[in-house]
Amino acid sequence: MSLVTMENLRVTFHTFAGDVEVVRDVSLKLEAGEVLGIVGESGCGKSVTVQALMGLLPRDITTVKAEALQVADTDCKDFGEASWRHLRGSSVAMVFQDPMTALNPILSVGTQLIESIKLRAKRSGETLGDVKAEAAALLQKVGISDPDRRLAQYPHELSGGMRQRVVIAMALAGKPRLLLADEPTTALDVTTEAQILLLLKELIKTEHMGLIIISHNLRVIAQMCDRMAVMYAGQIVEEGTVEALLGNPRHPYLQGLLQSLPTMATTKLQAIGGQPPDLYSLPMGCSFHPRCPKAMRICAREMPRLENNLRCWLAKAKITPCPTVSGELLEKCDAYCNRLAAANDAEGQSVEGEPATATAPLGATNNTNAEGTVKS
Amino acid sequence: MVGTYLFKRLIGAVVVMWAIITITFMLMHAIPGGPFTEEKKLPPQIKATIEATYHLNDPVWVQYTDYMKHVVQFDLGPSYKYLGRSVNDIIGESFPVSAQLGLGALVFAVIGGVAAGIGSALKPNTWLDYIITFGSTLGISVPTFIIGALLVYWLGFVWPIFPVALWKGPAYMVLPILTLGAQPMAFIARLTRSTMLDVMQQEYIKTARAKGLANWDVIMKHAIGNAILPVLTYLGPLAAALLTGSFIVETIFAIPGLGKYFVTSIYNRDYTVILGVTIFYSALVVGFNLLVDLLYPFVDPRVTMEEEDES
Amino acid sequence: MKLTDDFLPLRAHGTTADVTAEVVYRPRPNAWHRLKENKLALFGLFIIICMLLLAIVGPWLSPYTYADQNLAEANQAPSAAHWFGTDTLGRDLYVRVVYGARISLAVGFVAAAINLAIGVIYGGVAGFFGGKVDRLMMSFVDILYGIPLLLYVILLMVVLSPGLTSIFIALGIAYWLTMARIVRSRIVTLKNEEYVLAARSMGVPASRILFRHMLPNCVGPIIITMTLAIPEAIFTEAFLSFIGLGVSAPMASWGVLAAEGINSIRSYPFQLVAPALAIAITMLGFTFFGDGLRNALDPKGEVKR
Repeated sequence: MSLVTMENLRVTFHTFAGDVEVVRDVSLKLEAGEVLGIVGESGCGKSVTVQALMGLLPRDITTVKAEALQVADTDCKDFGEASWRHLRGSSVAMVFQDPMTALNPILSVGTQLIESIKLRAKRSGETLGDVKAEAAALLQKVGISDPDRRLAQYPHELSGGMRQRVVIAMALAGKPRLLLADEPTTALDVTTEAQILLLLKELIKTEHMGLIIISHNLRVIAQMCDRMAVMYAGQIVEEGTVEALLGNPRHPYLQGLLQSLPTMATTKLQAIGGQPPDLYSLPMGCSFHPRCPKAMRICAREMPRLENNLRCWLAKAKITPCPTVSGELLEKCDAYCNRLAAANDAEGQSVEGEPATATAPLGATNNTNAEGTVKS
Repeated sequence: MVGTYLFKRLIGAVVVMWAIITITFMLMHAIPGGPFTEEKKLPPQIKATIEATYHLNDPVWVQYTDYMKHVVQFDLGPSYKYLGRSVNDIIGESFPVSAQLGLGALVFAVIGGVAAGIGSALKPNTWLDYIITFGSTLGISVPTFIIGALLVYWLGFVWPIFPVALWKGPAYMVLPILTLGAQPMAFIARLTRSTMLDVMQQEYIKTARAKGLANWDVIMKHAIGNAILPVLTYLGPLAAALLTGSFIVETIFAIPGLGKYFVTSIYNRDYTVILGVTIFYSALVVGFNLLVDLLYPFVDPRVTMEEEDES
Repeated sequence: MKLTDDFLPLRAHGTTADVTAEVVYRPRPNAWHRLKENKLALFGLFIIICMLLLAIVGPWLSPYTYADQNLAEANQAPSAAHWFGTDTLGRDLYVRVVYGARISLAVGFVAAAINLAIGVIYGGVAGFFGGKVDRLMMSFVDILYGIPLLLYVILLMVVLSPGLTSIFIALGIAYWLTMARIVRSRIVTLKNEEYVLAARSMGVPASRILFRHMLPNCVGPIIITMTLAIPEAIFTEAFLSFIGLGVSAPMASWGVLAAEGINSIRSYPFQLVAPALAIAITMLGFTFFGDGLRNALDPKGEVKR
């Protein structure tokens, strides 16, 4: 059995401005020892998805629905707060984004760490040894030197990286099988980020846990994960192994993300145009189409399904779109458009016997005019 | 380090007290014609005797240094109206009553307010929350004397459950303490509710829940400690509010406390009493503020007793 | 699968322009919108406006004046002739309450205006100049904060001759501290905003930066503080009236009327009802409005994703 099985998760927030569906039909799978990355812009629903795995979403303002939800061999589909609570800490643990706010400011590091240890002992019925020594050992495990002194300190007396290590130690205290990390390094500087990622990677190996890591940073995902899922506006738009997705991105959104990464050779940064969608009023059809450079007419009308780990109408288009993400993209797209129009014309003529001009692209938004298509 | 901080705070408090005494003294001497002008035409020689007795003919700065000398020795001078009684006597007699009333109201307001605020924040948008929110909004909107009058009317006259005047035992304390504590309690309830709602949104509460802590433990161990911090900083202003509120409550309930004395001396224009009691009250509030500031770091470790660095 | 128009490009290649023209987004709620949504806040505003109107036109609706005494009609219960009854001197309570509204509301607004003027200038100057000036000015404020100021309002009232002007002066000079602190901290934040740095780098004179660029951006917190300061002043005036330091007879504020009502609560409880309700309703109005305004200008409750 998988460590995580989630099928068609839907999460609705009830806000003052009305109901808003922030996660739509998200399915995930994770095996023990595996690392899954979830990428996407802020507000795309990645944190909510992960919090649903721990039952952490506030019950009064959210509705969570899923066709299947299993975490650590437990069916949690219809879990109430009490059942979730028994799962938390011992089966699933979470590392939050901002270590500045994830620790209680008025309790010492030791108090908060020992609290987790005691909780685990109480649940598993084991007799407690020296909790302080165990807490110190945990701190040592996450690479904090002089642990005895640190235990007596308060969060504000530690650096950001140190605090994130404490948060990780707290997560480890319950000996969980699944670790969730919600942007664990976003609030840290680059060198600290590398250290924390390395630490997480080692811990996955030594403790044989599964890890789901959320990030908007593709480099973090590339470094850490076996598989990855790309989310946009509450949906998974593409999914697969890290090699496949980064080597051959199929969804225009992922292509755009990769293009916007600066490299040593980059002279000009490329950004995805437009704004992330407003979840309260999503566009018709594919949520990404207003920003998509390859949008087709159907994209503005119908939502594509997730097939073959890809949610995009381009998969259905007869002519494969330009596969590269290089700088020549524009010219190739130009050629693609012309080829597509030509193929379309041909089909239209043969099947319906309509004149070619009738099916030529229309509208002011299209500058590949009728003449051009006929010529080619 | 802690010693330096303590010393600095003490020096600060002394400076504040000096400023208070000076301002008070100057205000009293700004009264046109002096404290005895209102007296109905005293025979000149009697007036002269009085002025000599109270050194009113000395230059102002001599009177000021005289007064300072006495105040430093905790001597607030004689009363002008009650011959033979000093301000110290009056305070000594009546303050214990006011202190009982004030402490009672303080405890009532803090415990009741914090409990109500947390209760309504934990069950937002339920009938409990609505009742508490409505009650506390009403509480801060109705002046103390109206609350007092209503309590007197309903619980004193219509259903005579509690005595409505004097100060002779526990039953006599109920209505005054309710009256005096009502408004601060409403304020604390609102303050606690909004802080608690805010705290419950914090990441560390999520962390605590993610640990698998039971809801009750999350609230008791992680939320409440953070939620009452603003209440602690409100304790200073609360002391001042209770103090001035006691003027009204002691007047309404005819309680022989310092507040009632103060109001009476305002009616009588008994200047030395006004002066002395003002200084006494100010010292009380300044001292209370100092105490709260000194204790605060023990509750919130982020606030240290060391020098704040400029940022 | 059959190829149709569906698979033709939606737009010219490589452009995502004109996005907004194609997709209609719902406008995000702004402050005024949020305030309008908040029924309680609007209700509060409605109460305040009603009270102001009543204070202005109320006295004309009655044949009596606030000073008319008629001992033959003393202590009458509410009736068609005397809507709220009469007091111990036979004065019409309706006229006295609406006339009291004039005084109480005037005290509230004028005192708040004085606070506003002093607080904004003081806090603005301290925050704008920063450094030693700021530290000096603010430690003075801190010192005053440690003092029970109401005692000094009382002292001032004892020293000044009682009356409306004295109340304005005493309240105005005592309660500007909060305003000063709030304006100062806002200015300190604004000072590091890019547009202020930009204005400064272009050599815009300091006074112009302060008055044209910074103060307009403090309006939100200032209004919120005002909605607290006005009821505070009304409260304080009522308190002063109660201990005998309010406006002088036969003028009467709500505080004076309530104090008179309390004196005769045992025999004529109705005499307290009208002034007490007037104060409570007005205060509720300010509280509702202030709460709503705070939520609208400083929204916190938006759901995090």
